[in-house]
This record gives sequence, structure tokens and C-alpha cells, in this order.
Amino acid sequence: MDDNMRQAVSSSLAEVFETMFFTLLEPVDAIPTRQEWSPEKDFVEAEISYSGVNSGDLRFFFPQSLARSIASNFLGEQEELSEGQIVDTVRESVNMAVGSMLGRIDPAGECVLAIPQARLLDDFTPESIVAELGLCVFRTASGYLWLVCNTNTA
Amino acid sequence: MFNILVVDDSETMRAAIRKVVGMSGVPIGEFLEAGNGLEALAVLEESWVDVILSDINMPEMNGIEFLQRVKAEEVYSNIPVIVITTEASQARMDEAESLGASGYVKKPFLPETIKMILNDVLESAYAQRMKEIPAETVDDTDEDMDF
Repeated sequence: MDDNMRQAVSSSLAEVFETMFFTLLEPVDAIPTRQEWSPEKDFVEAEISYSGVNSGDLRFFFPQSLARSIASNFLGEQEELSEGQIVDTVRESVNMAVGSMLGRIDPAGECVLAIPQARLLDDFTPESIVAELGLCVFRTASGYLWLVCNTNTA
Repeated sequence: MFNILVVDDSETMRAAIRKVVGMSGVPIGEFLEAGNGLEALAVLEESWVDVILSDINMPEMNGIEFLQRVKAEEVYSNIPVIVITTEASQARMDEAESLGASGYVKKPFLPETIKMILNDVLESAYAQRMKEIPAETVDDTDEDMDF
């Protein structure tokens, strides 16, 4: 992933998460060491792709605490949230983030965004993705957000 | 009172929009929801709707196809449609406008943006409705709609 794409991803995510979910994302240059990972193994995975003159596939891994926090901020509800609400909020967050990113890298609107998918993972560790090319990591107050970005630019 | 239909495949987004619309000061009659264009067409068959807020990227029937269907049906074609979407390219906005969308809101949005565009669209729709009603049936004391 080139620097322009990395910048577009970072800016779009930061804007969406701050505006809609009141959550600050800080891009991390060096991949966090195992000692820095949260012991949490409950994650929400969300995947979204786009196709057209450029194409790409982005997989996000949200620690459950981060997923719960953005759902709570988005819905403005402090009471118990259902798993469905948490997963749906994560799904919508990546839809907005990648849609916003496409607005930056594809101003002519030639790419089509697919319908995002999201699911709960109950035994995930970042070990399985740290070697991936296109890995981006963001620090938040509720743990690291992990993103694997596979993009093809025409 | 205005009946509002929100079309979005995300239940949490519909809930968030409901909250924003509720705080907007617009007098709301019924707040109706649909998860995609097909479901929205079914709602339109059953209920009177004054304004539609629709996402684009949805399964079954996306927002562009839904907009085309609404504008093609004489009975629905005057219902203002505001597109709320992540697909923020100028080309996509132009496409929605050329198909008859009354407004366009880019996600992420601020609540004020929804409030402003909803007020503008409903004021225009209300003025249009008043023009279509024969003059003798209009109550002069209630001519202006203030949101």
C-alpha cells in the first residue's frame, strides 16, 4: 500500500470515527509488540470491498471493548447493548469510513462499494495478521484497531 | 405533521437518524423505517409519506434504483427524497440529483446538517402543497409553517 493510500485510509477513518463515534484514532507507525496487545480475545471483524477502476478489500478487527464503545457513543445509550447492535454499528462504521475514503481516491465515482459484512470472533489474536502486507494499526482509548488493507490501483 | 420514511440497511443508523430527526424540531407524525428499497416500496403502498431519507448502498434494492422507482411512479413522484450516503463522490451526488433527489447528505454527518436540509425540503414541499390546495379551502390564519 503506497503512502497516498495509507494517508487516505488514515484521514477517512479519523474523520468518521471522530464525527460519528466521538472516538479519536491515532495511526501507529510501528506495529505494537505482543506486550502492548490487549489480552482481550473477543473481537468484531468487519470486511468491505470495492471494485471498478481501482479495487480493494479491507478487513478491520475491533476489540470488543472498542466496538462496544463506538456503539454506545453512536446510539447515545449507556444501557446494555445487544450483540446485534454492536456488530451493526461496526458494520456501519466501516461502510462510512471506506465510503469516505473512496470519495477521496475516486472522485469520479467509478468504483462501487460492496455491502459490508461483520461478525463476532471469540478467540482472535493479532498474531494471525501482524505479518500481512497492508497492515495499519490505530491506537484508541479502548485498545488498538487493526486493519488489513489489500488494494489494487490502476 | 409530517410522516418520515428512513431507508437504511443499518438498524443502528436508522435509530441514530430517528434521534436526530426527533431533535430537529420538525413536527413528526409517523416515523417509518425500511431496510432496503424493496421494503421501502412496500411501506409506501401502505402509508402516507411526506419525505424520504434514503441510503444508497443497500442489499436487495439500492438507493439509486429505489429513487428511480419512486420518481417513475406518478403517485410517489412528488415525495421529496433526501439521499444520505457514504458514497460521497461528486459524480454520485450529480447522479442522485439528476434522478430527482431533493438533497444529499454525506456520511459522516453532523446532526445540524440533517436538520437544515430536512427543514429546507419540508418547507418547499409544504409551500408546494399549499399551492395545490384550492384557495377557498386554505385557512388564512395558518398560512405559514414554522418549524
